[in-house]
Amino acid sequence: MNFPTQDFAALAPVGILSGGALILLLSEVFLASTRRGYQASLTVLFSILAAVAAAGGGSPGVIFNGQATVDAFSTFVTVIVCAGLALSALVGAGWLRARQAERGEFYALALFGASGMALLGSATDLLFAFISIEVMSISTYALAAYIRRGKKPAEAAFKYFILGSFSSALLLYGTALVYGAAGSTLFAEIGRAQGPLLVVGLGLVAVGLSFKVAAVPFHVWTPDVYEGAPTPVTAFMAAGVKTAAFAVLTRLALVAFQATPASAANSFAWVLAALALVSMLFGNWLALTQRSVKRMLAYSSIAHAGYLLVGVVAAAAAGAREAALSSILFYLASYTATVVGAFAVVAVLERRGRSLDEEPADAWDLERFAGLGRKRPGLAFAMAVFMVSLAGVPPTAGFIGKLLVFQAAISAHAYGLAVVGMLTSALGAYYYLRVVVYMYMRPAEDREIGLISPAIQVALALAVVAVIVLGVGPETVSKLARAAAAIGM
Amino acid sequence: MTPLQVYFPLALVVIVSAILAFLLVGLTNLLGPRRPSAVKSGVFECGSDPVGDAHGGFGVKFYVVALLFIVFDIEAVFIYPWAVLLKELGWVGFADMALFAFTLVIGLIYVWKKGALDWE
Amino acid sequence: MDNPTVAQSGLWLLILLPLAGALVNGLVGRKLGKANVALIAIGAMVAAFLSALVVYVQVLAGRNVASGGSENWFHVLGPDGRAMVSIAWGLWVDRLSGTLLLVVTGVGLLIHVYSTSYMSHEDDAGYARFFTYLNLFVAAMLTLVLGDSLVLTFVGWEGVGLCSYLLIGFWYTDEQKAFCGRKAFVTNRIGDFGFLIGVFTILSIFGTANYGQLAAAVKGHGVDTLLTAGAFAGWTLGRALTLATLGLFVGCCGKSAQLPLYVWLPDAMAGPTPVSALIHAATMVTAGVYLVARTSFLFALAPATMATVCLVGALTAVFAAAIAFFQNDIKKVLAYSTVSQLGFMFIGVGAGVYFAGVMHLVTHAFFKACLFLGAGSVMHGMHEDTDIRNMGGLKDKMPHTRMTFLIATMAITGIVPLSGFFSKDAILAGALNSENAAFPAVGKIAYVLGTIAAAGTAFYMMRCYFLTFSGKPRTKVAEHAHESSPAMTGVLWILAVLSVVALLLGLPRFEIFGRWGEVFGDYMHPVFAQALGILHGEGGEAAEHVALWPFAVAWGVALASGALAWAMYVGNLREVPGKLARAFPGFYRFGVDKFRVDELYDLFVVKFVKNGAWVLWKVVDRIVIEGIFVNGIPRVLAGLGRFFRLGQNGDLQRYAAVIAVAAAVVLWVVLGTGAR
Repeated sequence: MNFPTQDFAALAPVGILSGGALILLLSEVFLASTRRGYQASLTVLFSILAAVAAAGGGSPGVIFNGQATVDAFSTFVTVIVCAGLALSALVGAGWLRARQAERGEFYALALFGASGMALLGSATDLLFAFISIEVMSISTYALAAYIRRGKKPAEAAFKYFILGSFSSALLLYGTALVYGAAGSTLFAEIGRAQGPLLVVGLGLVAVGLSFKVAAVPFHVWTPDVYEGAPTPVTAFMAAGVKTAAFAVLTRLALVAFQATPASAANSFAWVLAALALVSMLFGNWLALTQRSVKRMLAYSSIAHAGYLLVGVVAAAAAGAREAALSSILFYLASYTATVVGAFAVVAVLERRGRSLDEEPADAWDLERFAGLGRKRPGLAFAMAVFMVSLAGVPPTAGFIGKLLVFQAAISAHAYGLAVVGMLTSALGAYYYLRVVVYMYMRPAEDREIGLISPAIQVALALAVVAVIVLGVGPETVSKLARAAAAIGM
Repeated sequence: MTPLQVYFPLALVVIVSAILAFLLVGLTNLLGPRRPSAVKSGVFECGSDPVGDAHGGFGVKFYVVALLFIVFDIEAVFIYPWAVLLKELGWVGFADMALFAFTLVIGLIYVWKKGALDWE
Repeated sequence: MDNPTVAQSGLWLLILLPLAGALVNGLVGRKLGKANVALIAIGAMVAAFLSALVVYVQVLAGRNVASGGSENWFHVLGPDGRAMVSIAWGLWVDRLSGTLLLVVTGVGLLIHVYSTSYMSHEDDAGYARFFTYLNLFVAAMLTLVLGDSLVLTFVGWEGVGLCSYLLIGFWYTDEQKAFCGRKAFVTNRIGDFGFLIGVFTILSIFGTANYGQLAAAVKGHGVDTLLTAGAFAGWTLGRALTLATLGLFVGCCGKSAQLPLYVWLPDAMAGPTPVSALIHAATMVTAGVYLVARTSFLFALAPATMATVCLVGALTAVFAAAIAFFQNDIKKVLAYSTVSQLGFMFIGVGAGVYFAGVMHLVTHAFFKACLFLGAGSVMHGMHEDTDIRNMGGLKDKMPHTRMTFLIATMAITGIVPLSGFFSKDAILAGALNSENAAFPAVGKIAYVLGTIAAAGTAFYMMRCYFLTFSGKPRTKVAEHAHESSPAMTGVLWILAVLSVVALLLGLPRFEIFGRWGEVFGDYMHPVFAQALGILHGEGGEAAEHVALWPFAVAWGVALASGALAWAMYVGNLREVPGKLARAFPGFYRFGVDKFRVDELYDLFVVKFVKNGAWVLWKVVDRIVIEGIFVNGIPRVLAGLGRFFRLGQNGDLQRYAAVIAVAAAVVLWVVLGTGAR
């Protein structure tokens, strides 16, 4: 047996991320001092290195006997995850520093989580995927509880952990059933098996993944966890976890869509379509009534999972597959930039109690945004850009993302989903633009201007630029996404 | 071999373990002397009071030790089958396990330096 | 400096520089102080002008400069596989847009310089706001000119409309002025609607809005080509293009103030005078002419539209000139004169002498900017009084202003040998010789109307000049008028010189001028070759209009009516204007009221719309939309949202139960439908 150098080399980005995590862990115990600014920089550096390694590493294809596939798709996902990590780390730096809570563990956990996400992007085996999901999830559970004092983070982390374990159990049980039916957990092998056992197994796996992407009705944890977790962590979850989970869901869906008999494949498409439908409807509806911007963004993330699922469903039609896959990737890229930016603004503005234990009920209330356009025009502009992008208005990334997804849905003849998607987008504009209205048309209640942090400002600037560049000149990225859509099955 | 034959060893394990379980519990019941007292009738909870406020304080140190124990326990679980197959796995397997152990060592250094191993 | 890539990268810079200036001044201008604001704004303009020169060197060398273009922003395919919507960011400079580029950045720069002095009475915030808008306008105008597709042009088109609105209503605390801004905006929107119809029609005919691709698409096709695909399948190309170009021309009527949408331009004089010079005389209002010239190959395939353009231009020229007779506000006179001159340009592009239309655009930019800035200088001297009846005798008080104003007046009047004469004559002679395929007589009619309008122009411009500068001061203010600062007079002189020098562009094709004959026409020929080929047959040329008599007529007309104006306002016939006004009091009032077109619109359009809007408001909006849709739907949705939130009570067990039940449903579905 030869040493699979190539296989390990292909996972260089993961190696960089987890190696970086170890370094940060050690830095915390050996270099701990009051000055921890270097930790965020290191994290950003590692994520950039990982992204470069992913982008420059070529595509060796199938590795580890088929358990993982490093291809343009996984590269794209890795780069998005790294971008999300870098931005979240910058946000985290400012947010944590203001609370004197900056520690190396935070970055180490985020890096570990990101390595799990990057692995998930290339997983083509159920067990491999499961382990990657656990690496990703356990890190995020811990991150959610990062601010240990105070009830909200603890409650959020606990809920996330319990329900996450529940979904992991379903996923694992599904994997076992699939193995029973197919005699293998490799995606390639699963595609050749059939029978009720396989269908049930895949169904359970789908349920487990739907939990991770926060699709209705497996979304119940999302609002509480997103709201309770520290804001930078929420940003990281919304960007990274969603991206990685969608990557593996997409790969798996392609397998399921080829399942025999055809009725089984159809039933999966129907289930995913139903999930997409209810996610778009409920996500947007429930977001309407929120006054807490952070919670609104949580519901909006559910709605966006719905839009992304529309893309996954569109991939069921062979003719629209390439368009659908590239639209999902583009959407993920645009959503990552936008949502991290939006949470960054929330992080800047959130109201703090006098101590870490105190949690003001109105920490993220819409009123916090009143008059922001006068108080901090730059910040308000950034938030306006993100809101407009989330609402899907040109010339922002969100618009192009939605356009591509709905276009794919139309060419897959999923007209119903496309129409519901557009209508619910219009609904979404209401609560996104409400934030803009508060910022520019309501007088400020107080003179608080929120957190001032260069790190967050850098993150915001990058996110704004990314959102606008992706919106105005999407061709480069969408070309890459199209290239990445050719998943070697 | 019919499927049933394949699973015969498994069935054997199930049967033996079931017999053993019943045997152990049954025998103690039959042979053991019975002198109940208040303490003895209570539920055994590793020495702590089984009835009381669930939110009551528990030394967090116990958890830390338990967690560390599990980590190294799992390491042992991994290493046993690896050791059995070491010849077949060759250097690749060795490298894999070395990486794993290395990671754990870093973890150990971390908890050590953090003071998680100090009881006080 | 003749590296094409330098020019290419410079293209985006051209738009970005003024935009950056606007951003900086808009965000922090208030705190910077006037000097810095001016420095930033003018710096951006100087840089833009220099970049324009770099680009223009390429154009002069015979190379067109393009940037972007192939990069699609987005592309939506229709059911037949052709683009339903195709939008790209691409810039394109050829001789036409290059020329406009120079005019916009050059005149724009001069007016920026002028404004530093003119607007110095504003407070810091107002000063910064003014230059923000001005820079923003230049950026938008350059987008309009440089855009390589109708869509990008439309972006600029809307951008300049916005800036125009902002600048007309610059002193928005004055309700009347704010209203003028609104009027301009609304009138323009009516035109824009036509523009959009044109763009959509063109998109559904060709599947693209890119000028280069459009030109290639119609190449070799005649009016009678049958369209086979798209919404207009079965139509002939000519018919479909007539619809499209008429739509575009409605847009031009709005932006370039032609009948019947001209009413906003005179009111636009409510804005600061440099704005009137830059936007409402030199650049923005000529966008319509530019658009027709840019898409000349489409208009040439639609003879009916060409005839319409020509006639509307001619009628506007006469009509506006007639109104200008009765105006006593110096800026109003100039405004109507602008409307009238724009009419001339449309005669040119409508009659197929595109180069003449564009040439008049250029010369008009010089002399009309000069006139407006001169008027601004006069207003400064007169403490913001604009009534020419209160002036008189300013020639000694304001010598520089007077001389430049006189030069520009002679240029617009068409006195030989100033530039206005040649460009105007090129248009009229071209129109006389043109043969519209659908309505052959149009050219002749336009010639006659145009000549009348030219006579009118000479009269009212001379009247304006004499009343302002000649004779004796008629008021105290006029007696104490003073000359303006060098920043203003310097700019006036540059523009005056330019309006003389520009004559070199327009010398007719006579023996004595040698190769200088019609130099601009030859220069522009590649741009319009395709359109001219359609109009005059492949490889054909417009008939050489070297006849002498139209020149003689034009000259005579200008001199005669100039002399008449002199006689009536300076010379012996000074009693005549008063007598005439007394003799026909009704007609005089009618003229002073601008032929009551605004009142007519008010009666038939505004009242109608208002009443309709009242009904819509009370019935449709209040009850149907607001009651049912706006408030009803959210109420229902919010109610539903509250209902669903019951499931979101934070209870972990309930969450787990929801997931479990949902998982069971999913399994039931896949098993029930998929596993058989």
